[in-house]
Amino acid sequence: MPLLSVRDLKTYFNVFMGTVKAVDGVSFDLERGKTLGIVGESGSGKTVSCLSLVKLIAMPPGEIVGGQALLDGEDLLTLSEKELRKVRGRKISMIFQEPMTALNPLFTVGDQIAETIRLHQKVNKKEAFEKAVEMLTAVSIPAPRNRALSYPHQLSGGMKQRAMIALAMSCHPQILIADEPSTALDVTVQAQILLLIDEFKKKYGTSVILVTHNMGVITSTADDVMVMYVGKMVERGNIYEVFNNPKHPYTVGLLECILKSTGGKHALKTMPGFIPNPINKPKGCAFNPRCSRRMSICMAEEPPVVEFGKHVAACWLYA
Amino acid sequence: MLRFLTRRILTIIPLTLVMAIMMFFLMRLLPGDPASQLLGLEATPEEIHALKVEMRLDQPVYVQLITWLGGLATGDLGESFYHKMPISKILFNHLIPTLKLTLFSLFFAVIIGTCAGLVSAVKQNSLTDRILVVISTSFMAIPGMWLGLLLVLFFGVVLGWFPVAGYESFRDGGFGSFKYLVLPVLAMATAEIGILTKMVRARMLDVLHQDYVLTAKSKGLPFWKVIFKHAFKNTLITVVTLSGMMLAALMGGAVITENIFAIPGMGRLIVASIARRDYLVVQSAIMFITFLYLFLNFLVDVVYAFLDPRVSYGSLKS
Repeated sequence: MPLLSVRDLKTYFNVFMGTVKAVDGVSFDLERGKTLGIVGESGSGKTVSCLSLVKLIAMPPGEIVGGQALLDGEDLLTLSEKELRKVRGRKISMIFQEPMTALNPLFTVGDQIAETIRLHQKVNKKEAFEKAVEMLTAVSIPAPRNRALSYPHQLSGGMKQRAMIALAMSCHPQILIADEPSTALDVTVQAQILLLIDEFKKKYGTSVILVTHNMGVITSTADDVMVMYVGKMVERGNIYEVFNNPKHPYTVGLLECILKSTGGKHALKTMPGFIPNPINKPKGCAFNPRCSRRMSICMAEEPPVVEFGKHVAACWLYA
Repeated sequence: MLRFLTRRILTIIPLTLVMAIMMFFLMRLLPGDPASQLLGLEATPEEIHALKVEMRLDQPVYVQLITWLGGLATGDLGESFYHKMPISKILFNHLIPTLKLTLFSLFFAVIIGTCAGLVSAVKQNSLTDRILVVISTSFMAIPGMWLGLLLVLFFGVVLGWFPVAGYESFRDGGFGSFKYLVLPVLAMATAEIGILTKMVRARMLDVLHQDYVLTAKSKGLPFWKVIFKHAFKNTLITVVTLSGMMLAALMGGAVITENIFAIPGMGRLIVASIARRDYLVVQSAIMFITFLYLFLNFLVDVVYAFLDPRVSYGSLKS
């Protein structure tokens, strides 16, 4: 049984212009100790899918319209705010894209980590601080005791992201949601951060949901992958299956967009067209205006989900 | 920090000096002089001249300026032409009503404005928020003097709940003396409440959309702790900045309010002394307010350093 099983998750935003179906019937499983990568362009609903799991979207205008998110058999979406607070930070914790702004500038790094520890563990202030220093040591921050007493602005971007990982892992959560954890960092630091997440995954058996739009990051760290396009799952399954044998034209296009060192002058390929307006999505398959293999049915009806051994794709080509 | 403090204090000196010289010449540009004002229309030129000599107004202007500045530097403000009393004593007597008025107004404005701004931001787009926005915008738009007159008419004349005008010191009236302050404080605080509500709301909304608020929520912190610990502390700087500026603005606004409500404060003293061409009193009173303004600005800068660890004066590293 998977640790987390999301079924038909729907999160809509009711805005002045209409309803934005940010996440529109997404399903996926997260296995224990494994990494699920979620990829897609900006606005494809990656982040909203993750935030919806612990109801951290702004409500209103956001609304979780339907679906299930079973963590160990318990539906997170039906929990009360009070019960959810015990899940957040303890069972499911998060790190975000911008380490520069993710820590409160007015509190020391140690205080911010200790705050989480005191919230979920029965320890006093001093013990919590000691544990925070331990966590900073675990994420290989040099001089952890001094850094614990530092304010966020005194740390570099990579250090801050390490501190965020220390904060997120401080209560040994079952699931770590990493929302583009390396996007805002230097390339050299990116790899270190991803390795660090991997290390924790192995050490504590934590499952990781890794949101990114970097295909390279996904290949090197994920076990499974889910490709999203304007709120819908496009293709999902074992990473090797999906990348070696992509079925959906969107996945094929995304993989072609990866810059290859052997391609010479015309190495960088792009996908034609733009992401559609989320309030006014195209009828049928949302990808049809940009699809090179479009058929008439693609413009009329939503595609079915077709299985190919270890992975699935939502496309009319194979129906 | 120490270097910053010294530098900051030292800048107060030239500013005060420029202000002093400007005030000195502005007063002397006014038509008329204290001697003829004091003696009235019937006085002969000889009498006026004699009084001028007594007041040392026959001396060249630069001598008068230097004498006054010298007095300022040594703390001797001189004597009022009209009251025949040391100016420091007159200032002190008139300072207390004004301080009461401005500090109470600031106190209520900060408490009410901050709370209203917080509620408004937390409940953004709700009915409460919309009502608060309308109220705060109207509060900002109401001129204090006009509101003062309306308050007098309604609460003083029609309902008779509060005295129409006047003042009583705490020593004479005890807690009953506060009833004289209610209407003027209302008149002065209203606009400031409006401004604070709007500014706190805007800043709070900005803070609530910051990533660190999401981080705080994702830790599992209860809602009130996210708001008051993580978000509100970040809006406090706005409140401090505004409070400093407002106290100075209120001191200036007190000139009008004190005249409407006949409160014997600095404002009334200044207006009356201008009419009497009581040069030294006006100059000293304005100098006092100037100094207070500069000092408050300085204080606000110091408080910043305590509120925000990113503000560190003087040292280049970090």
